[in-house]
Amino acid sequence: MRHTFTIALWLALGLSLAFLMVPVVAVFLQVPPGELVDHVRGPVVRDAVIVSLRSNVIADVIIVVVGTPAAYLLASHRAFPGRRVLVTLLELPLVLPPAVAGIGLLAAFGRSGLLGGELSTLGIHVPFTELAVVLAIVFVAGPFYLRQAIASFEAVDPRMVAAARTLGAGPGRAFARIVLPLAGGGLAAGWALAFARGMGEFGATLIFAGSLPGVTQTLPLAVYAQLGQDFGTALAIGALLVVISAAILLAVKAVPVWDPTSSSTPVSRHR
Amino acid sequence: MGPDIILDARIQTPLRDFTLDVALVARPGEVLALAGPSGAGKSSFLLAIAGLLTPDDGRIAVGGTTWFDPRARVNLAPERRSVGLVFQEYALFPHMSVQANVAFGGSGRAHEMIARMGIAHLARARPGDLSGGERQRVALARALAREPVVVLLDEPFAALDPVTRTEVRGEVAAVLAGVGVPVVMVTHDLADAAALGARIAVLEQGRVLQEAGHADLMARPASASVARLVGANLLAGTARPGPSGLTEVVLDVGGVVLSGEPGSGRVGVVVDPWEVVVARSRPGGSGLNAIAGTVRSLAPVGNRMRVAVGPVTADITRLSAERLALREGDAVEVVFKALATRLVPLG
Repeated sequence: MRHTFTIALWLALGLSLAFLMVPVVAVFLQVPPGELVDHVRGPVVRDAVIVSLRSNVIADVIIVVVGTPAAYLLASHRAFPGRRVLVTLLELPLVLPPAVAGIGLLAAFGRSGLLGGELSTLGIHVPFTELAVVLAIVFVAGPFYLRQAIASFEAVDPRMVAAARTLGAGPGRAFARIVLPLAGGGLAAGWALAFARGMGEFGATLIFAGSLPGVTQTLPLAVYAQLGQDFGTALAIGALLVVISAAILLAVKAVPVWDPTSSSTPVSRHR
Repeated sequence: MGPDIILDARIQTPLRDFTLDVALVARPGEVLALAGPSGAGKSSFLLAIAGLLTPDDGRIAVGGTTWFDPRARVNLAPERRSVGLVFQEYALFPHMSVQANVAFGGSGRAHEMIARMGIAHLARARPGDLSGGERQRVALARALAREPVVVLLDEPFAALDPVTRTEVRGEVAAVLAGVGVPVVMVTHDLADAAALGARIAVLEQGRVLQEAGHADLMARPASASVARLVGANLLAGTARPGPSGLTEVVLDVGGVVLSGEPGSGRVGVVVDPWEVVVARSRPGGSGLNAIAGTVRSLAPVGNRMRVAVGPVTADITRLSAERLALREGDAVEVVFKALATRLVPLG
């Protein structure tokens, strides 16, 4: 009986792995590798890579710089009224369909949108610019980082901070020397999630920023644009995205994770 | 750091089930132990002194400096007070080496403290690679490296196994003796307090029930809960091999007792009060210990009479007390079997 059960478990694992890996492998096998590389060198892909990387880097800087202190505040003040509502509001974009995010951003920052008038007087025109791509990424990917950062900060033993304070460190120094390194692994994981989500962002960007090559056409949008014209190029972009995603995953796994709750060795995530 | 730096603290603050209301004074070189059941408010008192908990009311002054006084709107941040706090589980920084942990307070004395605590060979190790005893030494070195004017120890030996505990207790006693600042420790084990020669304040439900040395708490417990907490007699002395395989202990207070347990060097002879008999004259018989003294006090505790004779406290039935017609000042002998004693190493 036990034997049958074990076989069933392995079967389920094998099925999961096969189904999840087949499309990834297909991306690389459909076209010969040399051809993939040639496609990647084309101007369309180059432009899309630049737009994607630039907008994601800018968006991630905004997410980390604003999100980290916000998350620390929420993590270190666990008992103020309305905290749960606040956290839920911050997490809302996680479950929002990307198309809704796009139409919402348009309704807020578009020319006739909620803040459109104010932005116009300042001479700022958001939709269908690279700024729109950045805003779309911050909106859809930011909550991934926020959520993970709050959890990471909450996992840091408050006694570590208390110890640092009694040793003469002000709250800022205690944060920099103790909390940040201890939460670092979790923050990196949160950032990786946000980056992965941002690199893959499609729907909100398409609605709010359009798909203008060299301006707002990110890699996923380029895949869609190339689909009807040049399937090889579409596949090449797909392969590129797989490589980037895998690289991020590996890099994050290499970050040492300290068990922030005790004075012990890092909990290696390889084990 | 002068000899006049006295910690004078009064803390009033509501806890979950009761209000903590404790006023205590600790002098330089003195160890003040807060003992009592868990949840009595001991740790809250310690955290309030460190500035990690803000009480509703009270006053904390160290030497001429006020750390907390809501009436004068004074409430120094923890980093602006000068405390060396050793946390119960040590709260060492896991991502830093021993050296970096000890040097975190930013004093040039890190090397000196590491050497003094005998952990120089561990300077580059991380806390995760250390044993419990080693972590405890690192924590103390870290707390003392900043030359704090007050040392606070929260259950400093609770996380150690019994053997290490005895060993570390001795070392800590020696190190603290050399520091010469007020020390406040929280413990639920009075052997810890006795080993550090502490004055003991017994807390229950946020109030000090009694404040005295170990022997006095034994002799005259203010309440049954104090009596329960205090437990056994502890007589300090020096052990050497005795007759017929027994250990002979020369007591600091004078006299010699025998124990069935092995021991050498500085030891404490532990004997439960109910194992001690009071007699008018010295009984014969080898293996029986007798210490002569005068009756210091008589206190009824439940159905027993607690009799303090010199350094020893005996619990006898009220009936025997009446039969002996004991009165304060009487010359008597306290008698207990060598096999009723335990020996604990002292620092």
